[in-house]
Amino acid sequence: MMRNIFLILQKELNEVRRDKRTWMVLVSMSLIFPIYMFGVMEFSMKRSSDPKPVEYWVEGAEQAPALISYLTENGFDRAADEDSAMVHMNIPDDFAEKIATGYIPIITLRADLTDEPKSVRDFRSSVQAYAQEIAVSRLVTRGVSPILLNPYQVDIQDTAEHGSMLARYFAPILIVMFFMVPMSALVPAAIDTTAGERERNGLFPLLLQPISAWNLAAGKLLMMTILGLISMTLVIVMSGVVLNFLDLGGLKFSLDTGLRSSVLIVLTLLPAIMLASVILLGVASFGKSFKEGQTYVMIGMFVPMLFVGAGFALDGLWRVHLPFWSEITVLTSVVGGQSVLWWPWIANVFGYVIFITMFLFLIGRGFKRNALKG
Amino acid sequence: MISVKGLKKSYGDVEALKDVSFEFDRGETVALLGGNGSGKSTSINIMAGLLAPDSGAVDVQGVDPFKSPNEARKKIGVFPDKPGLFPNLTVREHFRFFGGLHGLDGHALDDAVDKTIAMLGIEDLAERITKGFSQGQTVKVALGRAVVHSPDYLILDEPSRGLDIYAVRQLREMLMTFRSAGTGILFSSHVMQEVEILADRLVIIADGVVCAQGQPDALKEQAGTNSLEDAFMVHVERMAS
Repeated sequence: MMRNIFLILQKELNEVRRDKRTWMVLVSMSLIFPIYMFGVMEFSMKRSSDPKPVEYWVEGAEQAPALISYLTENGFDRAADEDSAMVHMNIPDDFAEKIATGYIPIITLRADLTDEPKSVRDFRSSVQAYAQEIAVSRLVTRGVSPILLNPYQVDIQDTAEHGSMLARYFAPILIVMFFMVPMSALVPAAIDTTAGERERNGLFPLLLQPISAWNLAAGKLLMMTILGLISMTLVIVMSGVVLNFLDLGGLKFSLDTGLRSSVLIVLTLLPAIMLASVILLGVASFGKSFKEGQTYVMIGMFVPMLFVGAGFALDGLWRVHLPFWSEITVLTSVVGGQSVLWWPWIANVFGYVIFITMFLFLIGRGFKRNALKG
Repeated sequence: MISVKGLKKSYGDVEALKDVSFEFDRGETVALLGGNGSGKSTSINIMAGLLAPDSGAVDVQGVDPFKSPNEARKKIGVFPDKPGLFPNLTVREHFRFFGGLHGLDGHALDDAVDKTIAMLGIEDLAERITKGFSQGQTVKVALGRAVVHSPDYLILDEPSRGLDIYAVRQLREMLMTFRSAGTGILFSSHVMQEVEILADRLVIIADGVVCAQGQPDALKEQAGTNSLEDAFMVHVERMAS
């Protein structure tokens, strides 16, 4: 049996190594996506941690010259024109009078908070801080200690561990890179080896040979798994390279692309890659032609996406049992230096083996049925 | 010997085979004749163990292809009606792959592949991938693929379809060579000239039933005609009436 599976694998590899379409998709997706994903992440993190300087437009500045000076001292400059301003500040005409008589004037800030919300918040804090300064000077003038305003202070300490930060920020990205990218890269090969082969009438002569249809499906699955591993290796290498050039703030995420670490990553993810491959192979085998196979695969791609989507909706305890998420949980724990919770991964692998075996059997039966239908 | 006895096979309400029985032995060439949809391909698929009959039995040199399909397939080489080559494999890779599936390896596999390439006279094509091959070249590779393991029996489903006259003559010569080497050959065809030259015996199927079988001359005599084509028509029409 193993010899037959190996022969099928060898035949599939011989075919696929000459298939330019497969390699074009596999290599380009595996190399471009890490640049894209980490690039977007760096851009987004920089925007939130390194806000743009705020330039504001003010009406009624003559009512509060001291406030304007205070803002300038704190790094907020007035915009040259109204249109380019990030924040519009309106100081009412009776501001000075109300301040002098002890009434509370209202300063209005208008800004689009969908863009640069942190920068706008910083500006608002500065305006608010100036109000505090006025309050403090009033109390001092009346001989009252300003400490009375703050009977106690609150000190927030972030207890988030590095690993959990990584899991939170990187898990969705790692899922896309380590599963969705290899899976998408495998699509042409999956369709070509099933629906494409059927369209070329290549399935029928195979089934006339002394080999079981199950072995045939297993050989094709191994070919897909090898392509998946190649895609994943390219993703790992490219991610390692890209991360050297990125500044991800306090996350300090780095991917060890050394042999030992890479092998560990690959072995952790291998069962899920096989699961994804067998799903692709199964749905593509329904197609009578390459074109029909494409339709089925597009539908089939929703299956892993369901697991990925469910992971976002579930909390951590349940998420670790989901396919793809259990692998990523292990991976982020390893990278983040946390203790690894292996048992959900082991349980999942056991489930995958049963599912893959049954699915291969069904794919084999489908091959027979399809070959006779032509 | 391969024998087929009382085969019946239905696809839903359609009875593809109602009662098919025939046999052929090593060293003889038998032509399976019948119109489109008469049950020829269904009979071949059953002999190869791909389809299970509703009733009846097949014996491939003592092996039941439904109980031990792989054992039965080792004894036969099949040339399907649509060759279905793998376009990204070279000719040599085709032969190595199919020889390997039949248990050949090492020097035995190398020798079998070289021998098949030489027999087909396609040394110049051996290292080329089969994408873009002409119909004649495709048929040769499909034939080589079916015989690389030196099967005892060869089953060919319309092997000369789409071939030009040169390729047909070459194919005919090759089949005669296999017969001389002791291979039992069963082939289906619509070309009576080819059948007349190659076949030792004929099996005529019509509407899922074997309506006549025997040597070409005997069948012509039974039909009262000198033409094989006319004899075929007479036997089929007698069956229908």
